[in-house]
Amino acid sequence: MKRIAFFCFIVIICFPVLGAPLKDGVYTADFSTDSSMFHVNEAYNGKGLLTVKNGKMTIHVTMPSKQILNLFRGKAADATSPGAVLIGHTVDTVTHSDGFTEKAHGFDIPVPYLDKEFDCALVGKKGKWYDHKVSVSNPVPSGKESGITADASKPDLSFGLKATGRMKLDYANQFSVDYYEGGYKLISLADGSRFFIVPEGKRLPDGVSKSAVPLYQPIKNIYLAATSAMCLFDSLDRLDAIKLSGAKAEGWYIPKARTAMEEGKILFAGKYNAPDYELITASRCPLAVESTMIGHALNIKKQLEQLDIAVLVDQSGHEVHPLGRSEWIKLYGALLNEEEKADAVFSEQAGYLDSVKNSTPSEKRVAFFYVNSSGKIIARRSGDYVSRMIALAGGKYIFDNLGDDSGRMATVSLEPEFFYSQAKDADIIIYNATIADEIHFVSQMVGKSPLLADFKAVKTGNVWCTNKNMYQETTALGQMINSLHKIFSDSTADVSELPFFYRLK
Amino acid sequence: MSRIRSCIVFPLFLVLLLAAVILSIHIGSVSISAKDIVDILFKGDRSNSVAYNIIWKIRLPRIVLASLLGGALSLSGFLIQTFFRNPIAGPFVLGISSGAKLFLAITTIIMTGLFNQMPVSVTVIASFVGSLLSLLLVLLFTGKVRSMSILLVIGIMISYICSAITDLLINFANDSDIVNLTHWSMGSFSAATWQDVYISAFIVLPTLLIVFFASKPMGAYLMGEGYAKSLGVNIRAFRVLLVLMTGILSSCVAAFAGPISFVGIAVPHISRLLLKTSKPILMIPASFLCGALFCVLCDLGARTLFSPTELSISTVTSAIGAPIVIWLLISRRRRNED
Repeated sequence: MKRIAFFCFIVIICFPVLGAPLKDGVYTADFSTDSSMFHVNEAYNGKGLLTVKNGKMTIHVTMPSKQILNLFRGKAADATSPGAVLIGHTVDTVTHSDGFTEKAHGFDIPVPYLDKEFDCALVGKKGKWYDHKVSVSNPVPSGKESGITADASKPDLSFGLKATGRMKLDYANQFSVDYYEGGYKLISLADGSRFFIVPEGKRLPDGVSKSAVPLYQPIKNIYLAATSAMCLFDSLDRLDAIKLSGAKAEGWYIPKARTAMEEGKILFAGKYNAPDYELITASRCPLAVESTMIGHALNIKKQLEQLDIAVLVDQSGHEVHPLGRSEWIKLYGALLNEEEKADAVFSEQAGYLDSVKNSTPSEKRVAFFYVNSSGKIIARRSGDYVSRMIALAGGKYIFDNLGDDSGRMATVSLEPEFFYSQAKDADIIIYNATIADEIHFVSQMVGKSPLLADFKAVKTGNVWCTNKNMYQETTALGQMINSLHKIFSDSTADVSELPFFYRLK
Repeated sequence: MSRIRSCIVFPLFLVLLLAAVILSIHIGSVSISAKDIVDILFKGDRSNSVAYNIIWKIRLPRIVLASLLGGALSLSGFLIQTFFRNPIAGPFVLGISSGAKLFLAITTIIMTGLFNQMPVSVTVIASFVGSLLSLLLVLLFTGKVRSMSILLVIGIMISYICSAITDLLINFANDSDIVNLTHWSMGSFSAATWQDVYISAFIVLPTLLIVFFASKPMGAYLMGEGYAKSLGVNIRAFRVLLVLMTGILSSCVAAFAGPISFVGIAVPHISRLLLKTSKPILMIPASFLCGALFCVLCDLGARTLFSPTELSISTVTSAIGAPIVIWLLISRRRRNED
């Protein structure tokens, strides 16, 4: 009895300190941090929008700029570990009191408790994670105090239509799809661009063209310059929607795409940086799907837009989780009304990953690189999606200090003695033949760099090579992880070929 | 005065080169103690195989190649500046590197198209052959054109034509070919092997000797063609020899390290400013030594400044060399004004 009384006493004492749980609803709340570099946009007076649903609290805060790319609820050291769930950014439109508007990154941060600090690490464009402490306090029901309101950080994008839902995404955070009555859809991308999909036979609601680019279904005659997206259309069995390609037939490692080009169903319309405007215009192309490389040729994007061709920049390469890339199939599914097929294809890939997750990581040390024609060693950066796939498959990418690829080239030319000292004892070598020459024998690899003869993996015969199609097979990243997992386990001693990889003889 | 200066500058170059070599052997992304290095170098200690291989198979061939090719590039720069009597002429002004790149582009497209392969050795051979073909073209004009300035313009035009054809070919090349060409264009000693060292030494050292023995007619040529003729120098043959030597030296550099910028233009300037003379008999060994020293130091910077990421050698040669030349020129002008 004394124990129960003591417990009740403790609860009564602690209740005001920990704070009473908030009722479900939307509140404005103070968002405090331990750094002057990490704070809420000045337009919001240090406040964020706190949403409570089923007792779970999430605060949406808008940053002053687009410098911060991801947050992580925890310590910086844990943010890069396999399976870490990163908080992706949204792109918010901020309106200042003087009427000036700007785009800035926003984040939905899970809040464990009020009035008490918790860890929240951040990563910027340099790819380095930093530890920070944040706290959320003074929640006030939204609209009752000068601060932000539910829609203040985002413009009204309903266009007078009733929202019916949002596409469920498991890994991707660089796009979203909102559904409205009548079959209308709004696609929002991380770069701030928006595309409003108008179903066949429907009219464009008023005011759309001010905040989103309208696209009318059925969408066909697409100019596809983003090579990573071709396999997503292929997996949807909708290559018929593509009329123009940014690569020639011989540049495709996707058989159906190559055949379509050879048969003249898809025409070469120039690379992303030199499109054939006349052919694109004459083909009545409504949409150009570009890779982020178009960021280096913005004049071309502008010219396409002047020709009334919508330019959708495929940002799957910015996805932190490899399967986030594959999940872009859902975006193309939404464009083509193939959501069910997209879901099925993606679920299959997610299933591959699930099967790997349940097994014990082998922790095999893996070197992934190629030797270029000048003899330089070229490796992927440590934070790149390939190294993440290796980690998800249970291996350990041996070059762990090559930085993140955000805002930089994904590859790096390695200093030879660093390469030698790091990779000499790697358990497994995976030779990246997607860019380099196709090779079939270990001797061919050693011929490119004689130092490789000393390597443990060469001596034990654990040298694998990627197929040429690896970079173009965005859809099948789950299966790729599964193949890597098999390579890292000891079950492939007698296996010479797996999907996307083959053993060098 | 000039003799005293030479007595200071040459030992200084030698001591600095030796220091740069020792520094380059010692510094790298992998830390190896001085004692271990001495044991590996002089006692053949193989107990630490990683350190042994790093010293003998990575650092040493690289340092030797950098000094050989750095010297060659600087010397070819001096020759071309002498030939054209133009202080801003560089060894690649004759279209050597553009010719190398063009032939490399053609070879790469053919090789990857037919065999899906572009071995490193083929890259070296293609660059060398391309350089020599451009050189041959320049030599054809050398015999026909009397004016040096016209020959200089012809060299630049050859360079433009080669670049234009390369750009045209790039339109038909696949992405991997373009990536490889870009990497080659940036220049590097990264893939140096002892085999590269032997072949380079076989080309560079005899050329250096020939150039050195030609220093007397070269000195006469600098005084004017009439003066050189009066001393019995066959001007036409001499011009061909000068272009040939320049071309061979810079072709060798293009083949084994890619086009390295700045060294050929600036290092002869540095040598000239330090020696305060243009006499070929002094400038030839000085340019070679200074070029070797400069390239060894720049290569050390390229591999260690942002280790493990390796910078292209041209990034470092330009970033370090240009301010040095500006400083030398300004300080010389100030001294003259005083």
